[in-house]
Amino acid sequence: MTIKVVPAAPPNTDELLQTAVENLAALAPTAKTLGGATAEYGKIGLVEAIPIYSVEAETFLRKKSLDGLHPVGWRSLVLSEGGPPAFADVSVATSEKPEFSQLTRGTIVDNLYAAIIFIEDKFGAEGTDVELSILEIPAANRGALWLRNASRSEFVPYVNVGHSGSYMPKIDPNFLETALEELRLIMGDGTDDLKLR
Amino acid sequence: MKTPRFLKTKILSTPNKPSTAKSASSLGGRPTILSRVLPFVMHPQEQTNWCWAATSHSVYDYLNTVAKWTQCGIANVCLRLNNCCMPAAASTSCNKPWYLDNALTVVGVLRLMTGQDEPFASAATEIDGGLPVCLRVGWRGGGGHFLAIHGYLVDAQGVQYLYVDDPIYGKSVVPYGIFRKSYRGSGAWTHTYFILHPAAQGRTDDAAGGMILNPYPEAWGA
Repeated sequence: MTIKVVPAAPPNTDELLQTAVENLAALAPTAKTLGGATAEYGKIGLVEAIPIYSVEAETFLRKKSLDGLHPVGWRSLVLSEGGPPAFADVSVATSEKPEFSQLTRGTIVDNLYAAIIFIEDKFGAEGTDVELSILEIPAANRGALWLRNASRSEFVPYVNVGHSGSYMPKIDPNFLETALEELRLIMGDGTDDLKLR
Repeated sequence: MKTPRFLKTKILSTPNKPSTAKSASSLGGRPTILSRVLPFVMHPQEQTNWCWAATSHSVYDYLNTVAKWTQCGIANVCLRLNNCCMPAAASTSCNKPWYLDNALTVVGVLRLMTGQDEPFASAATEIDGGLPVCLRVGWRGGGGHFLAIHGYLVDAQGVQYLYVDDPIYGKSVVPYGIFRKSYRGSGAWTHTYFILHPAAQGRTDDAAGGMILNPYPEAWGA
């Protein structure tokens, strides 16, 4: 297999996510917490967690690079038999010990799942080694799968805000440049009139 | 559903396996818990910076049976423009960060804004009254975003969870302690917007649009 998940999640991540997913599925006041799974759910698969990097606007605008990033958490797809996927996160953003931080469902999860299947089809057949992680730029409302090795760094966005029509995963060669431009507008000139308020 | 082959998958439980969660008591075979979830639906934001328009539009639609507003219509009023419902809405004049208190005032549903996060009990009281709670998160390193709390849950171990709906990320269940300081690994809850009960809603056109002075000039979001 040529796609590697680096760095691997902390040792107790699986247990944390398993406990959270099973408890929330069982305790859900509606049958929709896991996209239809309930206490009487079918098989639930917890997929190997992918590291999440989060880019801060001010730092990114100043450095214009992704150097020195550290994972803020890990994300695991939760695939339930007969139901739509969810994803579950652990966070290390505010504590050295990983903590369960969210269980999410909906379109964003469908997009992430489609992006993962896309990169498996594309990069799995290439025969070159790439490392997989997730890059999020919250202030620019952007998120992508991030594939890199010594000679390449590519992004497959899965946050599809502002685009009508169904999501189609693809490599975006301008992902970082577009995000930088968006941040400049949001944090710079684009908010000058806001400061008048 | 196809499982990605390059990622290891762990099967959690066999079908129909009861939860391993300890329950304080049981009722009809299900754990007794403290929870309520409103059938609130957040509309996805139609432009990259319109979380304020999507959130205010969604709250209005949740509270009212007759659809009256659109995201672009709210943007037109808030920004004092008339072209935000046209194809050029993605222009920077329309697609820009703005203030949720202004947008909620325009659609007539803002009761109170505070410049802080709120205790779990405060959010639960609002949910018990049938009202979602809107809030702003401020991202570490700058920028902000609006979303809504539409439910709560306390499990048998006493862990408090919030059900949140985000105009970009959709529905999540998040531990309250994490949500306050590190939403999505980066966001801290900075401002809260309490919603007006439908029975108290009235015309608020006088307050609509423009640059209204308020005590929270930092509370913009995208």
